[in-house]
Amino acid sequence: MFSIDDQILNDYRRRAAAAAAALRDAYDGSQAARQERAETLAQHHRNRDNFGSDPHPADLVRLAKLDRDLEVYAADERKLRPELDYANALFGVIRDFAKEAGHDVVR
Amino acid sequence: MMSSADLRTRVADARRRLEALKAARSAAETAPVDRETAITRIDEILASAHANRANHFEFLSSRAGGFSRDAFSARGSADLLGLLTVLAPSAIRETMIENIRPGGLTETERLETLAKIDASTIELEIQEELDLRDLDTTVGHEHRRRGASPAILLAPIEELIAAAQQMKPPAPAAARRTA
Repeated sequence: MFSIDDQILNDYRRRAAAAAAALRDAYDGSQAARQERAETLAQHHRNRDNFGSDPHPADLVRLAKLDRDLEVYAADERKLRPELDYANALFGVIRDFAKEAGHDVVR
Repeated sequence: MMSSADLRTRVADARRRLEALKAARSAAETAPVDRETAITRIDEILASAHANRANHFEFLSSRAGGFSRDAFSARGSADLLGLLTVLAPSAIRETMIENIRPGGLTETERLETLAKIDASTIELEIQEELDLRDLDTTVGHEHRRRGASPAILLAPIEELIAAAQQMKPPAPAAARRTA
């Protein structure tokens, strides 16, 4: 019925890859923030246990910022997950169609 | 050039009409057969049931003779339709005909209806995709409809435009004269 435009096929592929990368970035950022938060808290507990010291004000500020970052990452992940599902599903359908039509889809 | 808002409105309208066409296609696919076809089937079924009926009264000619109510009931319940074609052939046929569902389609009508629906679907899908590509270039990539035809999604724009122009109904004579 119609021919297949490679540029369009590649655009859908790129969008799916970009959606995956965006979600991965949000996930990686979230993991890094969690780790930093855990380390900051562990340091705080060690200081309290070993020296009886109060949390350093800078650490409290840092923890509050990390909590905010985590909320942002979580919101990003919630928003990006359906985008990735959509982009993957759409690319899957058109790739399968192109493959069935005998088109070279690995470009 | 249409505005983004107008394009979006037209896409939304196309999607509503596509949903309606999908429902119409499903209705045409599952519509009952036409009355004539149904009557032909009824006659075939009754003829077959009559030809292959169990002999409900064979025991009457047995050497022992007599009527076996149990044997009659067993054969009757095992082949009720065969029995009815013997006892009440007209009544069973009329009852079956009375139960034919209205709104049936001949195979030709069904195929014609489906072909019309498919043609309208393709036309709308092409228009939807052309509008979405306009939006892609003006406001960024627009989400495609789940179930959109991959052939249309992947088609070069020149081919879509050519197909859309071919599908357009001819302009009325007055409009052609002034064009």
